[in-house]
Amino acid sequence: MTLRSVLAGLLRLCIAAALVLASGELVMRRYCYSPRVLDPDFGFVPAGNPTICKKEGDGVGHWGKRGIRRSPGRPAGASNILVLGDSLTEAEQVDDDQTFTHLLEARLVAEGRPYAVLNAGIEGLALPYYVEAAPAYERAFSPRWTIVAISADDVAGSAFSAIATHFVKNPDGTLGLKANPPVGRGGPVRQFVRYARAHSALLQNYVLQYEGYARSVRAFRPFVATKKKDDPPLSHPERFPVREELSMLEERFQGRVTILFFSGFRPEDPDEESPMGRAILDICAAEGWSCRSTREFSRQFAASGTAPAGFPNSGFNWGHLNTAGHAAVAALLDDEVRRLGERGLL
Amino acid sequence: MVFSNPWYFVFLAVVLVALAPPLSIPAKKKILAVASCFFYACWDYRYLGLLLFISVVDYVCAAKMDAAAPTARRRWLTASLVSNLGLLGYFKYTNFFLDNLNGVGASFGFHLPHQDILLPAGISFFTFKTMSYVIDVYRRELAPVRSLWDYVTFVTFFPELIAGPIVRASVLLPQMDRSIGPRRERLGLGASIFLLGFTKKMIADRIGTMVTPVFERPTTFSTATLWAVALGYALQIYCDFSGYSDMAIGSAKMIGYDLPENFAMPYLSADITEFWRRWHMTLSQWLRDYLYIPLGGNRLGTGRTYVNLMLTMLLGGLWHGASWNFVVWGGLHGVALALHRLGRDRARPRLPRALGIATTFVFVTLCWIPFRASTFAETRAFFAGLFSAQAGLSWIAPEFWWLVALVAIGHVVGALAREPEGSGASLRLQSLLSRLDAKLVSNPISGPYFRLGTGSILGAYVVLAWVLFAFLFAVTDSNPFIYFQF
Repeated sequence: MTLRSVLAGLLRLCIAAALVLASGELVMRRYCYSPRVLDPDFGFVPAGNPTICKKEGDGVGHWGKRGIRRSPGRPAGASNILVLGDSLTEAEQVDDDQTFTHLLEARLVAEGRPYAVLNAGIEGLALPYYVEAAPAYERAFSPRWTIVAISADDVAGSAFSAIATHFVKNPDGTLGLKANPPVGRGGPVRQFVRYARAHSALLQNYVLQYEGYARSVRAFRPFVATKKKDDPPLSHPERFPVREELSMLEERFQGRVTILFFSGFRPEDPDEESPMGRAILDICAAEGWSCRSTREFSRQFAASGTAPAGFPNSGFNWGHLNTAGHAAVAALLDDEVRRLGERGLL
Repeated sequence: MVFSNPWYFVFLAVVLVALAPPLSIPAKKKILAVASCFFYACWDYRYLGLLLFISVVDYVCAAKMDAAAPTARRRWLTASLVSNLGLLGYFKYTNFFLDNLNGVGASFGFHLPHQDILLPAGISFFTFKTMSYVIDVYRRELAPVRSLWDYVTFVTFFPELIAGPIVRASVLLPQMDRSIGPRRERLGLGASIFLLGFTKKMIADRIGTMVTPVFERPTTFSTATLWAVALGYALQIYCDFSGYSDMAIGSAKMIGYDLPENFAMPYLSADITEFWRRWHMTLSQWLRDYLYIPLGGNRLGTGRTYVNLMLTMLLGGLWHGASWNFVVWGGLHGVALALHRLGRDRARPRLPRALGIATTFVFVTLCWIPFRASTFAETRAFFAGLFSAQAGLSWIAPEFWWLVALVAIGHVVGALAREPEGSGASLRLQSLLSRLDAKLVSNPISGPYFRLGTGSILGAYVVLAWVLFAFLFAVTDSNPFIYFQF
């Protein structure tokens, strides 16, 4: 084997690799792509180009300025109801007119209460971020009311993850907030990677797969087949300062906020709320805060044998809300808006 | 350790590195045996003793049998069969037996408690493997292995330990004098076969996502969905199991051994007899040689032939799992085999090949329903939905038909690869392969496989693109292979 043949082989591989990367990017842009742009206040938010999600569901989404999802037929000049949340709210899996925010808006318009329901959901966010960014949201959207959609992990594990804005325990035992904005941190390499990830479908999908493999590597439990599964921390709300977390949220939004809790759906036991959900709802009831749980519509799904989450290409009752789930959430929030109206709050 | 889990790649790489130095053949076999034991212990170290116990018992029985008188030979054979079938029966069928006994005893007021028994991974496969060895020695078709290390290496060989192919001693033991270890050609071919298997597993997992919920609640979904899911499961189980077999064959090839072909595109079979020659071939051959023929095969008259056929298929069904659903599945195939034999005996005209393939495929697909369903009630509900205009949820994944098309294309390419050498189709395939720097490598044990190459830009592009897309589209959650549960 001569040096010349080795170099020729390497050149062949490099050309082929470049072609593979280019074709990979083209394919993934049509399969699963979530373009992002940098917003000065909110970091990387969904961009104007459509998102494509055929990996889970079959949705095509469009976003306007500042990461607000497009809603066909939005009433002009109406007051805003701002909806904050993570990927469950962002809802790339369904089309624009199937999201619960659009369906809620359409319901309110039809009922003669025209509000613009602004969907500002961004994947990966959790409760501390909404607390930290509350003033920015106020400045940007002047909402009459805010709905914050959370899952159990948003007040537990994710809320204390140092890689994002997170809660910390102060030396005096009170709850504090440590901001970790998604931009402006790290050296040029990290900045470049963030930028590339925001604009490359291939890189986005590569990272998702890599994280999936990393999870399966961590989940590997060798040597004893009957080893008991770990007791999930989410079933122990007492380990987390849930009351303080929710108090901070209420305070930063001056009490004009509804907490929408995404409770897991268990068809065999639809009426049973999760421990974290129970803790949140108990605190809300004691404090008189506006809180709703998706458990409220579990019975209707159990009766029909369907589930509010999951798609044929991702799993039944797994992952993000499907179209029936979005419709059910819209109905639940419609009811809450009506209640708030009756209390003179909205 | 599932073949598609990243830990397996690490394990395989370590084994290959350990086998790379120029050590003696016995030393390499010992390394392989230790690695295989570690592989099994990764599932549950407590059951490694069981695997080694079976190995030692059968090694001793075969060795003693060799020099014994005929009656003593029979005794050693019986001892081996009792230990193998006893362990298989205890671990796999105890609760099945108790459940059925309790079902009968309920009216008499007695109830035996369910036993907390964990099914040892791969027990159905390695007991069949060791039984074939002892029976072959008993029949004097095979000389007993002299070295216990060799025998342990054969029994525990990790690529096929958990879910086959069921490798007979007569296939693997003669290869054990080879110098094993990674070589450029072995790695290239083995990795190509492994990649093909990994891709099949990816297809199986993606289809499985759609299939699983529908089988769990068949009354919820529409008739069109049930038909799509029935087709989907047929493809899922094929891709899952043949994918596993490919990964096993590929892993073994990288090490330096040839494992037997287990699937020869069974869905292109024109009749049910041909299907069983091409589906899970190592099990079919095992059942033929160690059950059907000893029962008398077709030598004891027509009536007895059909009885033997039915008995073989019913036991073959039960081998898959301790459930009446598997027995029904085996029974349906037994009836079909008997009917096909009856038609052949009476010289009935054969269906045109295309129609035969379609009919066989539809029959096999419908038979998978009781195989996949957990209970008779699920099976009934599924069939009721299939053959009525059931309104319900549509649950067909957007990419489902793409996956079906991919499997169909794979079958077309595979069929071309099996065309006689020198035929027009074969020549066209060879020409295409040479442009991709790939070649068809046919092995009398493993069958035909493609070896991918990176010697041209197009070839390198195909290899890299295949790896990238297999990585991007794989289901990363831990998805055990379907046949692990058997």
